[in-house]
Amino acid sequence: SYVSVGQILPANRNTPSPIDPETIQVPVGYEPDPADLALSSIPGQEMFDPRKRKFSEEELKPQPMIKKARKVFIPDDLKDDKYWARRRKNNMAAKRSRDARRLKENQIAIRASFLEKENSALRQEVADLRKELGKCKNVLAKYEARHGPL
Amino acid sequence: VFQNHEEDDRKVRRREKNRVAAQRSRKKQTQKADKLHEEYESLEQENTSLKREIGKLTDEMKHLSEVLKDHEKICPLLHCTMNFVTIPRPDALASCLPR
Repeated sequence: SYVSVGQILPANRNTPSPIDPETIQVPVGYEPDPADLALSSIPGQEMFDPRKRKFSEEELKPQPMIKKARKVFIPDDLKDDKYWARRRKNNMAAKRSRDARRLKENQIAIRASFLEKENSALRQEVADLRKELGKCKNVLAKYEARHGPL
Repeated sequence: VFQNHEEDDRKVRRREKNRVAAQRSRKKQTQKADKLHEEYESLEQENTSLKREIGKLTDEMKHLSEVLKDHEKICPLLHCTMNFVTIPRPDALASCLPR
C-alpha cells in the first residue's frame, strides 16, 4: 500500500524552511498480521494504526516496581462479604492492569515492526536521491568546466 | 505426626520453588519489554533522521532543478533545449557538452 505525497513546497523559496520530518512519506508495503492487530486494539475504540501511533518517552519508561503488600493470612471466619467484595475489586483491577500492559506491549511491537519496514524504504530513498543528485552535479560540473559558471 | 511434617515440608519447598520461578518469569518479562522499548526508540530516532535527510536532499534537487530551468532560458548554446519536470535530467545539460 502506498502512503502519500512528498514534501510541501513553501511559496517563497528565498528563505529556507526548516524541514519537518512529519511531512515526509514514502511508500511502505506493510500489512500487519490481522490477528496481531486484533490483539493490539481495544474493541470499543479505533483500530490501532502502527503508522500514526507514536510512543513517547514517558510511555516507554520502565514500569515502576509497585511494593506488594505482604501476604497476611486471614482465617475463614473473617472472610466476610466485605472481604470478598474487596478481593473481587482488586482482582478486577489487577486483570485490567495486566491486560493494559499486554496491549501496550503488542502495540509497541507492531509499530516497531512497521518502523523497520519504513526505515528500510527510507534508506533506499536516500540512496536513490544521493545517486540522482550525484549525476546532476557531475554533469553540471562538466558543463561549468567547459563553459564557465552557470 | 511425622507424615504431617513431611507434607508441610513439601508444601514449603514447593511454594519457595514457585516463588522463585515466578520471580524469574517476571524478570524475564520486564527484560524483554525493556529491550523492545530500546529498539523501538532507536528505530524512531533513525526514522526521524532519515526523513530529515530525505527532506534536505529533495530540497537540494528542487534547487538544482530551478537553477537549471533558469539557465535553460538564457543558455547561449543552441543544443540547450532542456525540458524539465521536477527532476533535472542529467542528459539535458549533458547535451551541451561535446560527445
